[in-house]
Amino acid sequence: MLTVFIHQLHDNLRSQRFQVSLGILLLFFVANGVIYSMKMQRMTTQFARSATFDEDRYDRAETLSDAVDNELIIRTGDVGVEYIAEAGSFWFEYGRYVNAASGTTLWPRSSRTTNAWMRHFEVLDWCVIARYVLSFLCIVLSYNAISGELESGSLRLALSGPLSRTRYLLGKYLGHLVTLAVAAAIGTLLSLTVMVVHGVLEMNAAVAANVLLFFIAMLLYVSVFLLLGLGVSAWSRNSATSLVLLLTTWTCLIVVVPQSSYLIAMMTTDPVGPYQDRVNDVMDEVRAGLRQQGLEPRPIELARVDDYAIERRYAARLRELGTEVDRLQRNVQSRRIEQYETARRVNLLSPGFAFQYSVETLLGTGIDRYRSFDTQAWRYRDDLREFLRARDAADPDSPHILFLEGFMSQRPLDSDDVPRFKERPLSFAAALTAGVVPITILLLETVLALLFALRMFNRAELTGQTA
Amino acid sequence: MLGTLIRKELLGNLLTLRLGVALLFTVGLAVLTTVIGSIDYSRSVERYESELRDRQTSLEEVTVYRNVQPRILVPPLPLSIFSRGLVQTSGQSVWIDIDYVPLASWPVGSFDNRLMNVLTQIDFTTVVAILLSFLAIVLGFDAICGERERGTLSLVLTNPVARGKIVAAKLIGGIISLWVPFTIAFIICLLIAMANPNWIATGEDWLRLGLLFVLCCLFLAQIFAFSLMVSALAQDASTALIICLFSWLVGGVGYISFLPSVSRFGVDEPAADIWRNQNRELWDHLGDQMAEWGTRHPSPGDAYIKTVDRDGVGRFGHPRGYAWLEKRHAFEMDKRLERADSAYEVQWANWGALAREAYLVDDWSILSPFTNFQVLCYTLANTSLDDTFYLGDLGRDYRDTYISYLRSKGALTGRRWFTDDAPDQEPLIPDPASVTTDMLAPDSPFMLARMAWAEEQLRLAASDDNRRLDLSDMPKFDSKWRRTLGESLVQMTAGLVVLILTTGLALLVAMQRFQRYDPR
Repeated sequence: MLTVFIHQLHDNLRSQRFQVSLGILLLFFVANGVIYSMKMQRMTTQFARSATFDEDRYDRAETLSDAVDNELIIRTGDVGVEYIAEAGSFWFEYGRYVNAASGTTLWPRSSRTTNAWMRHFEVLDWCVIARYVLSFLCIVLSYNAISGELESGSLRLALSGPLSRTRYLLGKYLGHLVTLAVAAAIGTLLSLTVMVVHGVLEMNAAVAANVLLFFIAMLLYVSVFLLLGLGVSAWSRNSATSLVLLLTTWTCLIVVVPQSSYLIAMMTTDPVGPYQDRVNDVMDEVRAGLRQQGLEPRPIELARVDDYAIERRYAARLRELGTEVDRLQRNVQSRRIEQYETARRVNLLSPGFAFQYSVETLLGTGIDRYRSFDTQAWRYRDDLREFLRARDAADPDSPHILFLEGFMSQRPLDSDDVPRFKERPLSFAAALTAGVVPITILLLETVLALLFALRMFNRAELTGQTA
Repeated sequence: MLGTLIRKELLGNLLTLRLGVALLFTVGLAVLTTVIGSIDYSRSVERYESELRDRQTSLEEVTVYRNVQPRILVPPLPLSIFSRGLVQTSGQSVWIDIDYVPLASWPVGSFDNRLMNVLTQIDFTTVVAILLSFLAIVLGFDAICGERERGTLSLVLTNPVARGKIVAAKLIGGIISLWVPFTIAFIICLLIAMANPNWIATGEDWLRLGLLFVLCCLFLAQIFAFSLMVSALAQDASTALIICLFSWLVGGVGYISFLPSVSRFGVDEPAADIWRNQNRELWDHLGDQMAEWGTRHPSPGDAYIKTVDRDGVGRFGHPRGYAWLEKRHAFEMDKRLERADSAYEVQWANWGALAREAYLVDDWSILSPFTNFQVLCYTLANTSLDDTFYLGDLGRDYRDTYISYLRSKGALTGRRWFTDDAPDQEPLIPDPASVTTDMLAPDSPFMLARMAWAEEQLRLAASDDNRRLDLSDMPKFDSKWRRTLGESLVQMTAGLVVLILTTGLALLVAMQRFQRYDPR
């Protein structure tokens, strides 16, 4: 087995197609390094800049009462693994408008500038390179791994010794796997070097751990296609047929299935529609109704006379409205995520996305991170309200009408005391539980591909003429 | 002889497994994209029509100039089913407003689900660009070197045929074999589009569709010519295949994703918050100007200017109050128009960078046949970036026309801007001089009684048709809202020249090389 392995490794490294493949792979990885050097730099400066703008909003309120209706922006930056798996972080709304006042809700907000005029295809992160290029190389390397040797007759020679077929196949497989792993390792190193030289990345244990996790998933994914290639090559016994079959399978799994996921998700799930208008309509309607009933906050001196009777009723109605629009908003949010999840399920039919989503899970990014951010944003508003309520309770002069601007404590508020939002990253265990499906699928697919290759090769007719 | 050779090529290609499989994929995916494109198209027609109806009714019922909110709406583009381009994000409508000078067009209705942006969205032309080009490569890579390996090439060359004719036959045979699955897919997709009752194509649209067909054929010929060239240059079939496939991977998948990223992050873009803050400052400045005007022209008092505001219409003010509001309004309008112009400058300073990024992508697309083809398709379908800004330009012109119309009607200075009260309307507070502050509180018995009266009056006003504005002489937006075919073709010139030149060049090299090709 070791001999077969070393022999294969040697053959691969010397073959022209491997050299071309390596060149292409390195090209992609260098491109990735260049793009993410620029991109991560942009993301960092953009985030720092927005952070100061967001911070300014806290200073707008001078008294606690002002702070109630002060619209804040919370957002969260990148996790620092975008060059491995961007996982939609450029499109997901990692930001929220937060307003503590009653009758308001949390509005999603994009955390960075998006360019609606820009066409987009796929972002060139490591996952995409692995998904397209590496899987393609698997096929290019393995399509004639068995059939080629069968055609040239060297396979019969190799198996005439005491070497078992299983061991022979495993040797071949490992030879290809190591070849590709080395190529990918050189590529990732190049990409990392470019980013380190640009100063957007610092090599440390966390980066190393992320790269390692990426490699584990990548090796599994590469195995799927390599073993598939070996199996088909043994089954077809003819290199040309094998190539056509494999390229077809590749196109179907890597190009066709993912390209159709958007279409299928859009067809099968109801469009969310212009929900913002709906939410706004509900709010406008209730407010107009209140005004019509003469329920409107009066100047505070007038209101004090009857102990804020009107304002109390007004605020109570606003709180009800707030609960209602929060419910609407959460409902819309879960439907939007559900639509995305449908597309994700279609994508999971492709090993490429089982791999992609596994990496996202392992790195704690992707839709799971988005969900966790969403929960944290709602919790932050609760915290903010709790803070305001507690501060207000300490002021005996305040009317204590909760979350109605102008009718809470008039004491000055030091904006530094207001709690700030800080995203807690997804814990590894939580990420794993959330993303157990793609990882299981990826593992299963690897095992299945192995069984397929073994079965095909063990049953292959070696003595007869090739087709 | 040429005919025989072509027939041989055709038979050799058409009956192979690879073509059959490719045909299945192409047709399947093309149908899927067209069905979705057709559904999307119907949805936009629905949105467009309901928006148009809403606008029509609102124009009929509007009673004050403030509420006349004209909007440019253009119907969805029939070709967007095949080549959706920027239609989804940059849309088909332009807001016309006093406070806003339009930059570009926007989608009708608000954006659905941003999360879905993460996924790639394809259309028929993408299927051609990615999948059929793949087929072109798979057909072409061993056309020459493969025959040499099988030994059939020396056999063919024993016949008294010029070598040039063999290459020509291979080219024609290969291209026709490519056109067969393409034409089948195209026709099926066209039928799907035609089955959609909302899909109405004018004569020009059909012409554009025909040109789109030709463009796709040209593109396929280009890719096939390229793989033929590689086939003539390479030593053996597997080398040719690797070169072709990797070129496809780099020029197609690689370049398509590389270009937008590089352009996006290579251009420096100012922070959106800067623009928003500047915009807010402009509003604050307007506020200051109004406050300053207020100190110079004190209001006659709350009781005079108190009106009942419903749906953007103020009613039942006191005549003295109206006189003051009218003066204030005339001053404010001037300042608001000025503010809108400054806001446009400020916004463009920010968004100009975004537009430049997107334009750069289109400009550099010419380097790869795949992206070049895509841009050509978008331009042909009127769904390119340029078309978005074209509509934006028209929007600015129309806004000017609209404002001069308002001026000619005196709407920018008169009270009809904000109220539809008749001159003899009884005010909410008939005798403001005798009213105290306490009486003005919303829950005072006086106010409650007056509001009950106002509700009754509002009911009367709602059924009063005479209050409606006569907008029959308002200028309509009737400019030619999209580029003519001629203009589109002019825009496509550079791309087309590159497409044809590279095809010719690849053929020349293939011919040249084949003249001295060793068949053994």
